Amino acid sequence: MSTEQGFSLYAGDGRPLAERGLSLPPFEPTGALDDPAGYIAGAGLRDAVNVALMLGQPLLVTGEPGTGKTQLAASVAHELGLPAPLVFHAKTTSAARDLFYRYDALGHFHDAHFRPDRTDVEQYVTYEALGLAILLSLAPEAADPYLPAHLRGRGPTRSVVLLDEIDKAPRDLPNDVLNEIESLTFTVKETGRTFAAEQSFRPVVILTSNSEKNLPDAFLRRCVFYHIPFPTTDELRAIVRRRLRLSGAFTEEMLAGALAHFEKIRELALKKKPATAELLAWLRVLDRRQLDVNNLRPGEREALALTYAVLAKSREDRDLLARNLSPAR
Amino acid sequence: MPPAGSDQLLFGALVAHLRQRGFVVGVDQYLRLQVLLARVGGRCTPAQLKTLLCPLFATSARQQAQFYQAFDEHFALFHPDENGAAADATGGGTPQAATFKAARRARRAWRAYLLAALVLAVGVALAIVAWRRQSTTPPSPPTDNTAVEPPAADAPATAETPPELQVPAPASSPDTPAPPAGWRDLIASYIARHKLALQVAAVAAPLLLFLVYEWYRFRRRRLLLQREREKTPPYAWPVRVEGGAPKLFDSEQFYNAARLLRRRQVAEHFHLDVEATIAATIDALGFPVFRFRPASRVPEYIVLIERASYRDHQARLFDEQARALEAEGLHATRYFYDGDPRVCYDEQEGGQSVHLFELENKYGGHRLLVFGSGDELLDPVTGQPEDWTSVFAHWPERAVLTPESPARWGVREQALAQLFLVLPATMNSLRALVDLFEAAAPDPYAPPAEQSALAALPRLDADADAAAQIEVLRRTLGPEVFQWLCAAAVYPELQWDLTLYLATLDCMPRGLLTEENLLKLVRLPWLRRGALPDELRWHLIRALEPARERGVRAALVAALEQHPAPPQTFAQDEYRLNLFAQRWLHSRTRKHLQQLLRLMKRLPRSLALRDYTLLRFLETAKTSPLDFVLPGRLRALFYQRGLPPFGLRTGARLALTLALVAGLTVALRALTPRASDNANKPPTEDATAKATPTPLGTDGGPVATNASFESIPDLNLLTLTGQPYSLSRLRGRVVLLNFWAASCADCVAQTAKLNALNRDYQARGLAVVGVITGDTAEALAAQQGMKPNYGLLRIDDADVPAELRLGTSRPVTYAIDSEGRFRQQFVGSQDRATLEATVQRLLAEVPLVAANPTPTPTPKPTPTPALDDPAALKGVWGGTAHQYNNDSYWTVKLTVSNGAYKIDYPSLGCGGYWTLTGRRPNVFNFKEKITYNPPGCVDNGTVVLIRRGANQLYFSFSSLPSGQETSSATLTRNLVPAAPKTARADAMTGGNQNTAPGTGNQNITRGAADPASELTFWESIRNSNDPEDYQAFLDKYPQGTFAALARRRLQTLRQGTKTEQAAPPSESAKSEPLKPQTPTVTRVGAFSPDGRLAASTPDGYTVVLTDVKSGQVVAQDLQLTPINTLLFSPDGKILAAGGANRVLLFTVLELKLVRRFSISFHATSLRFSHDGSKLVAAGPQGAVELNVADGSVKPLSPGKEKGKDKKDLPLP
Repeated sequence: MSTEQGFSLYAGDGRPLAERGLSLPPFEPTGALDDPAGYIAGAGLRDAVNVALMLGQPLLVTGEPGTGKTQLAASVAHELGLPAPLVFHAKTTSAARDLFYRYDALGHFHDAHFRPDRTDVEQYVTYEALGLAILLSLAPEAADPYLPAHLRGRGPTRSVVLLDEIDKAPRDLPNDVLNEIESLTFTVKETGRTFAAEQSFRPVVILTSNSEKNLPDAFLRRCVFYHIPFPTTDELRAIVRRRLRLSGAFTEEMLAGALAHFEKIRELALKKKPATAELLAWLRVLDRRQLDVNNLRPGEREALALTYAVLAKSREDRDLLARNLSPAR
Repeated sequence: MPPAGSDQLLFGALVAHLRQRGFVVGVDQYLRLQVLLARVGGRCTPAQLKTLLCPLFATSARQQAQFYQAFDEHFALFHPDENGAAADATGGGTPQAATFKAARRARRAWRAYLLAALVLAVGVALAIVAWRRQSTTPPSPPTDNTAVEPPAADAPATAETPPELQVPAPASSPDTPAPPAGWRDLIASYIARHKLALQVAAVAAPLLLFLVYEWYRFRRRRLLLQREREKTPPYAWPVRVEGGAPKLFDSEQFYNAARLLRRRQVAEHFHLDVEATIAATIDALGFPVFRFRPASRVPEYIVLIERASYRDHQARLFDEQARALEAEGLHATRYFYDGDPRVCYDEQEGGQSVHLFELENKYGGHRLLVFGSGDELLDPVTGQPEDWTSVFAHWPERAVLTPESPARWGVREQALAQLFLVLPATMNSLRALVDLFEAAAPDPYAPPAEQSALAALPRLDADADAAAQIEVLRRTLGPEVFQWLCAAAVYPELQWDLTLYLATLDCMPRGLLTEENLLKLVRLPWLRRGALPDELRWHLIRALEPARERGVRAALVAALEQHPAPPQTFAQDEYRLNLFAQRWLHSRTRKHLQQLLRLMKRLPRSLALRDYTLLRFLETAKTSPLDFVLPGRLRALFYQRGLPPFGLRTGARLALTLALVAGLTVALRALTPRASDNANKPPTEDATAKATPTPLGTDGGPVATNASFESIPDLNLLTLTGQPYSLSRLRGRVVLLNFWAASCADCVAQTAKLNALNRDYQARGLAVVGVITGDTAEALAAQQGMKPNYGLLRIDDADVPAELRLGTSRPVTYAIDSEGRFRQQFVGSQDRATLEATVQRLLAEVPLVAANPTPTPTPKPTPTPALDDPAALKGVWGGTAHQYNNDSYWTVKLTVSNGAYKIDYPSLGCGGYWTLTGRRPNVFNFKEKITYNPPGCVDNGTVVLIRRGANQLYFSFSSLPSGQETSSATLTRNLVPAAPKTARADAMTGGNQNTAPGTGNQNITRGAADPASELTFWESIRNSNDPEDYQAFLDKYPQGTFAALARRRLQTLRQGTKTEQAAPPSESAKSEPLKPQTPTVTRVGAFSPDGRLAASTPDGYTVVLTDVKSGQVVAQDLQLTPINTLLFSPDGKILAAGGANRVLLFTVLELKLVRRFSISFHATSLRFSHDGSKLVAAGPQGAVELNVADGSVKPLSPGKEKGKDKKDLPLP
């Protein structure tokens, strides 16, 4: 009962919790979904990471959304004993320079007018993921003046850089950053300083792409490439075991049934197929509601249809799932 | 470090393999590969290497999968056994590889079969040789046996032989051949017991195997044929042009266009333009003035190309254009669509279909270029854009580049202009495109003024008359492009590369490869469809200048030769056909023609007819009168790939099978005779003793298996006095040859049974002969106690043939039939029933003549003249009798049981019993006593029964006073007599009154003339020289049609036959109705010179000597062929009988055959010389003089014969 209560905190009928004899429980951490320790990489991915580490080349990872591309960086950092990865999220407006630093032109302009005492251009330069990683590879005395406070004194160290969704960036960006990524050198135009990474503390660069767009060939050729295939059922089960701490009431049989159901859903002609991340979230819901997919009690079919909200990302998909469920009666 | 040399070589090959598969592997990747290998190589398995190396080479998910596949394939090449399965499992094996494997396996299998057959044949041969050697030297050491032992054959035989048969040979008798112990005996006994089954198996198994294999092959060939028939384009081998495609896009226009298309595009967002802002601020005297500038971005294009077919030249041109632009740094993604652009195909992703809406999601901000007419975008009825075209709104900059000449633009283009920028599909349009995009509001519909780029083509109907189209094409394309088209028609398929290559040939006009020309050519409907109809090709090639045609064909041959199809593929057929056809058409030499013809014989029809030239060629090829006519030959060629019922291989296999059957049969026969006698049976066991004499030929007939007995050499038998004795002297009798030795107790027991058999069956033609083996003196002593009533012979142990395989511990008895063939073997003591059954069976087979009491040469103490066993008559006999004097028929039923003979005449209503009055071999004399309904039957008759076979009797009734036969019948055992057909009424009405007077029987009522029987009778005697024949005829038919003729002949013949007396008419004047199988058989008769005896042939076969006075049959002898004439010698001591091809002389009274003459014709008349020393036999076909004393035969010429006849006739 507690799970049921915990699940339907919001009744939607205007009655506060207190009236229903409930109280808002503290947020219960839902397991370590993002815990890098729980990440499982397939043999191919493992080898690809090792090759990238060995050759000192950026690793480009593609795959369906939700197959753990982004979390790979955290996992690599975790396993290599490095701090959390430095992340750069590519945007459609990103330019090559943005990977390394940002220059606050407007702030500088403003201060030039109103605070003539602050003349140091350096104050208006913010180092971004790749720039930070290069700085961290340098000796502390050389890098500390430019590093943000929380990173000072760390170096020289290797670090993991995640350039997420590189394909979202404009077409020019990959080509523009080719040389910088390869040589790990950048110049801050505003101050004229050039930073070059210490080769022995070369950052580990991981790029992810949803393979929506083809990246330029020249760029691809300088990367170590790996496409994460969708995990098999066995791998999914292993991932679920590692990732989710399912309640004891959610038996192995129920899990197997849910996984089979999930596989079936993936076979449907959905616009966006649910991936591992969706599966984990869905399983957590199933666990909360104690739904046995293979052995639905009366009235639970509707509850199951509701849980599809986690899997389907569009109304059409949700309708399709619901339609697919009903004939199974 | 791994061993550098080998690994580098290995992965160099892998890289080459990858390149072959379409991977782009640069130097940097190769270096990285080497670094990686240097660090990890040698420590991991190929499977790990796969995932390790993949990230270096793959750049997309598809390439990753391709790499895995390529990797597996590559290493499968090096380790076919290790990785073959893995490669197969991942679907890595190409169809070609599978075909190779299958072929290799098939070859290997064929070799294995051949080897197995050889081993089998050699094994069988060795086994037979071993057998033969073993049998000639019986006591061979057992080590020899094992040396030649065929490994597979003996094991099952040993296992199936009951252990109790493996009784060791008695070691106590060293003088007798020791039976070789061990597997040979066991096989022998096994073969003996299962001979029939083995024989059947020996014949059936190979044949069955052959048939099954042929059936299997037939089915496989049918599958193969199915596959052959389903050849599809992927199996075709395209002609490839050396040196790559010529550079199409090299013009200034193209580079201009590319530059313009690359021009950066204004992005949606703005950057703060720092420098401009500073400058503006300074200008504003420190007042901050911000300046922004729009971000720019690289323009990206999505190109949709309309493609009508796989070989659409137009689509290919636009594709090449887009590729060329891509190579110039343009970001362009190409998709193809077939008619409806809502479904597009991505060639880079392996032809996957993509919906237009998905493209809209992916490539939203791109510039959209549609190469195509745009027909499908418009509603066919209203001509307005379809509803779904709203999807194009997501591409702000879009254009349709139509291949339609602007001169023909009209409603369609206007409608399209509502949605798109419509331009002609030329390079100039591309160049103008960007400006038009960037123009704020382009003119919605403006046909470009410059129209030369897309010349207006006539609207050619692709299916219209070819000849008419030729002129239109020549006019509109211009002479040069027309020649290009003609050149393209030479090869049966249209291919983009080839079409381009042909334009660059030396023999073609210069400068063909311009955009204008290309656009003219590729817009032709056939080039869009990718195929030219044969009719059109024919006309086009004829329109091609001859020098050009030669040049084109030479180029084709060269191109084909440079890129041969991989061997063992389906594509090879087509490739070779094309090559040979092109060669022959290029230079029409006999050699090429023969090559082509030879190839044609092996190609399926569908392939052979691809090239119209072959069709024409075959239609016009000269036919030699030696050849089959062409269509027939063509049919034969095409059906060679069909299902021939009998091929060379099948014939070879069939011959092999038959040889195997023959070999097995011979082997069995070689093994069998010795096999059965050496069963080493414990003599006391009755059960096994019974089991042993299983008849070798169970059907009882003289089957071929008995031939093995015949191979036994003549036994060197000796009489007890030491004279040689040949078994052939017993020919004609059934012989039981009993080998025995004094040392054997069973032999003594056997003797009593043989005595009994001899006693009972001797008279019927059985001869029992005992053969003493071992010590003769001892045997003679023992013989006193045994008291055999049959003759004894002896044989020296050294003379015992190995095949007989006698032992000393048991009697061995052979049954020999009247032909002298060894028919059965009995080992050990036999009970009487077993022996008797065989004896009876063999006696039943004896031809009736065999019962003739030839002088028995066996030195046996013959008891009283043996009578035939009346028990053999047991049973119920039935038949229909014919009474001669009144020509009536009545039924006979004879029931014989335990010496009682009950006779019924059912149709006459009377019956009684018979009393046996005498018997001779196969002849029984009875006296008849009618006990009921006496008035219906004549009492006081005598009956003679003559055995004609196991189930047939000849019944002859004679009334007592005269002793003349008045009626006869053939009786069959167990035949219930039916009412006589014709004489039923006769028997009921006149029968009684006719038979009653029949008691007197001398006055025979002559029947009314029956024309049919008269004719039959006349036909049978018309060639006779015997006056009796004619007398008999006249007696029977005094008023007959032929009576006058008969009298005249009779008179002629009677001139010298005073001594002769007409035979009793009833005996001779009868056409036998009951013997339909010998319709010409006649009854003949003769009286002895003293008149006391009469000789007759009551049934045409049996010579019966009758005492005229008593009517008793004195003697009779049955012949196998009909007797035509009988004659007593002048002294009355010899009876001569003439028949087919022979003349027989019998002693009178005993009817003993004293001489037998073989002549070359049918003797119908006989004359003795005066002194009886010579005999003339004459017939329609000749005459001979026979010497009675020395048996010589002297032919007489027909003329002489007459003279001689005349000379002899006056003799008394």
